[in-house]
Amino acid sequence: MMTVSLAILGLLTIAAPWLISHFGRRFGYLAALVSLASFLWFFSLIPRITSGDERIEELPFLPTLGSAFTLRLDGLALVFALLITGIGTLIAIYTVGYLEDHPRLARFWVSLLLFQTAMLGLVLADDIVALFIFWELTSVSSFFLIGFADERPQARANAQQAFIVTAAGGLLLLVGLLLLAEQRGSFSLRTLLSAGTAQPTDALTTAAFLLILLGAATKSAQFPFHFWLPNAMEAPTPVSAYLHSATMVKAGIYLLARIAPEFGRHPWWQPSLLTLGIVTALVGAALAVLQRDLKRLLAYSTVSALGMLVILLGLGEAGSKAFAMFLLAHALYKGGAFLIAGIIEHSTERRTLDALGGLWCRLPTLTLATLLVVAAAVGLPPTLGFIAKEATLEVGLNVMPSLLFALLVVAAVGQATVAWLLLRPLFARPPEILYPHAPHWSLLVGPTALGLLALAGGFFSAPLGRIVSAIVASVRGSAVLVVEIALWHGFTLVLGTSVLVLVTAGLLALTWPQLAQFGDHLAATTPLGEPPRGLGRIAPERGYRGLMATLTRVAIMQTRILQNGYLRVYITIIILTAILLVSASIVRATFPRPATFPGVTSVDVVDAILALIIIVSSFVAVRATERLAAIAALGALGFSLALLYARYGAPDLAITQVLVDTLTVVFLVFAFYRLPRYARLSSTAARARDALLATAFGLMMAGFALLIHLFRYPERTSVFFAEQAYLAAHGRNVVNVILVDFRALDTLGEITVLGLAALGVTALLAIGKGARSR
Amino acid sequence: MTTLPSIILRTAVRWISPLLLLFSLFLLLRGHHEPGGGFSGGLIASTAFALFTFGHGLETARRILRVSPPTLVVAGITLALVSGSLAFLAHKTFLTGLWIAIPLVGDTRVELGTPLLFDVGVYLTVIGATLTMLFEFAKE
Repeated sequence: MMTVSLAILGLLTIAAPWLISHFGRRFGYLAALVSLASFLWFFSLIPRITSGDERIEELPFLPTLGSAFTLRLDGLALVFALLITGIGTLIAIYTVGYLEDHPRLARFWVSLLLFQTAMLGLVLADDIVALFIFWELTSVSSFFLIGFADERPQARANAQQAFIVTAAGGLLLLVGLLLLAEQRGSFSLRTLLSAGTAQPTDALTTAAFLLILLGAATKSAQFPFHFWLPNAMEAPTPVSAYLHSATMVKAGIYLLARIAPEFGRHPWWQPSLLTLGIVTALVGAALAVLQRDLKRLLAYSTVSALGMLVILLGLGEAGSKAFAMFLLAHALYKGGAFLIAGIIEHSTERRTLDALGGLWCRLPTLTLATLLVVAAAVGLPPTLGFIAKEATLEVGLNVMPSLLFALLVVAAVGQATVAWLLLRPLFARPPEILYPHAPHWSLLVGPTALGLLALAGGFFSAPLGRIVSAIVASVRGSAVLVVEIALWHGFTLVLGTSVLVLVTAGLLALTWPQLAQFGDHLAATTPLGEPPRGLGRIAPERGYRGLMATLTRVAIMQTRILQNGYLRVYITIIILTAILLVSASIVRATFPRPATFPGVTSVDVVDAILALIIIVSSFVAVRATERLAAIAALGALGFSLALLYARYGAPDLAITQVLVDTLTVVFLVFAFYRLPRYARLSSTAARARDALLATAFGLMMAGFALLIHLFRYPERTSVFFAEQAYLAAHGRNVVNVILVDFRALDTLGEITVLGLAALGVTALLAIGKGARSR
Repeated sequence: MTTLPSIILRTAVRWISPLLLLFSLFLLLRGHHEPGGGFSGGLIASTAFALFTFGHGLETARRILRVSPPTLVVAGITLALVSGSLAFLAHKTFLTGLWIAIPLVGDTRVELGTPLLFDVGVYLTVIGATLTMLFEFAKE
């Protein structure tokens, strides 16, 4: 069923352009229905999974490599699947009102659905190859979505930045996972991560851990890779809410939670995660309150929240309960906050905080939705946000050193300030009178539902407790324990801290105009094409830009050397490489050598004649002074060769040789008019060099063929193919059976190359035409 | 081709091209047991269209083909992929051949399998790729 739900989403992705041309914007409702259906299915599994059951589905894929397409649903995967499909439903409805009849609606939906499929696959995948592919697919779809408004240079640059950072991290992750797979001999996460009772701390495991951590850090925008996330706000708002706050940026968090049972006991786990998390949480919170742009403000606060999640994971078992609740709460309220920012932008065409105000009297429904979301985001009782924050602060107070706890509180203040700031567009005094148009109902469904869910989380603590305990079980790698969740703990130090956070954040939010001015002064982020100043000079993003500039320089340099555009140089290099490699392996080869080399006993007359024709025609082709003569000589050579094949029992080869030669002549006839005069253009020295090269290659091939003929391998694959062709593959023509069955994967690769080559020829000829017409 | 070729060529092509196409199908279908197969079949079919281009010009050849050659390439590769993926339905690995035997009169029966589908994919891709290049060359 998991496979089916992935397949349905995949099919919808493929069919989207066609369906959109029929349904237009209403396609969003269809997408919402599909998401809702799989949400309900996952929802119905809650009782089973939370009682400690697991669901596994497996499709064999490349079994010889030990890889299978395996999906696994446990507590952690279930919660992510619920978030992906549930928020996906709301986002789909929201998009109907947000993008309306945008001319590139089809492109948007294909990218978004591709993302949804990939993200769902990512959290369900048990096989590391599948995990990696889905991981990179989310980066790819995110690239297209950030660059959706591709007429803006800023959107293109930011899309590229997000892609390069996350995809580079993905490659590190792949190396880490493969190291682990190599060491432990399995591709399945289940086996990989439940391997050790005694924690191995050898260099290989540590390297794998660090690489996986880097992959997770880039995806989840941890410092110093955080800069791509605020820049990703170029994307349409549904995308920001869905990918860049609720789901995709949590992929790294998901992965860390996934490997926690195994690596949680590694001595480097706690120090590295705590450092990473604290720095990210602080940098994110500090930069967030200095922003003027509503979406960038929320983005930096997402960075901070992601840091907080990493801290909680770093605390190990103690933090897992708070982790589970904060994960849920953040996905709900931050997704809602982004959707509200999108509505405000849609209704007023403004996105900067100081240009907005007084919307409460004109947009009462929006105000209601905003109040719900803000209550959860700042953590007012009785919302889920409140419970999550209480749990987080409680863990911090009990487990962390006091300095770290103080930093955690500072980060929490920053995040709460951002949440309070969401009220500014509603209640602040506007700089000018705004006439917003009322939002379409489809826009309001999302934030209202998310806000209500966050509110309900506080009331229904029993089902919440079951879900939380399932996540906790996955993160700890233990059996499901009952987790008690209570709204009210009495007057404790934690409650005091919580109130302190709320009040400080409220005060900070009131003095925001001063903060924003201070932020302009610091200039922490540098817009595209401007020299960095202020804090921008030391921002990690500068490192990224420097790296990209270096990359371009190196690329230009190596292209000048390696890709110089001279066909003769390419061919020379290819032939030299082939000669060197093959000769080296011929010399080094240790076959069972026959005692005596068979002497030449008799010469077949027909063979001799054919060989003579081949030799003579190759000389004629080289020495010809007319093009037609050269072509004719090559043709004679080809047909003689085909006859030789036919005589030695290779009719397939002979047929193909004849056909290729025929078609070559046809092509030459068509190209005849385009070719320049057939003149001798190269110097004698160059010809001598080419002759030497050609002779060496010919000698090498001759030696190779002779050796193959002389040495008898102990096991010959041809015997196997000949025996099995009819038995296993129902075919009497062994050559064809090899092509379409035994070695079909190779053929598939070859026809793909063939297709690409045809497109390449088209492109080259088009370039030639352009050059001539200029 | 700026000038129209001789009437002999044009008339001959009109008869030879369909025969070649038929022969290409014959090669494709017998390929699993006798010499032939998707690759050589595809090359023969391309030759048929090449001849037609000689005799009747590029536009006529395009019209006779009905679909654009790159579409054929895409269709061919997709068909090959699909034929390989069918194995998943039977819980086998990618590209495992599946066979069914259709009984005809008496003892004879026809065996059909996904490798044939795969070979048709190869056939289409070869035609598509060759004609993509050929038509591009034949453009003035």
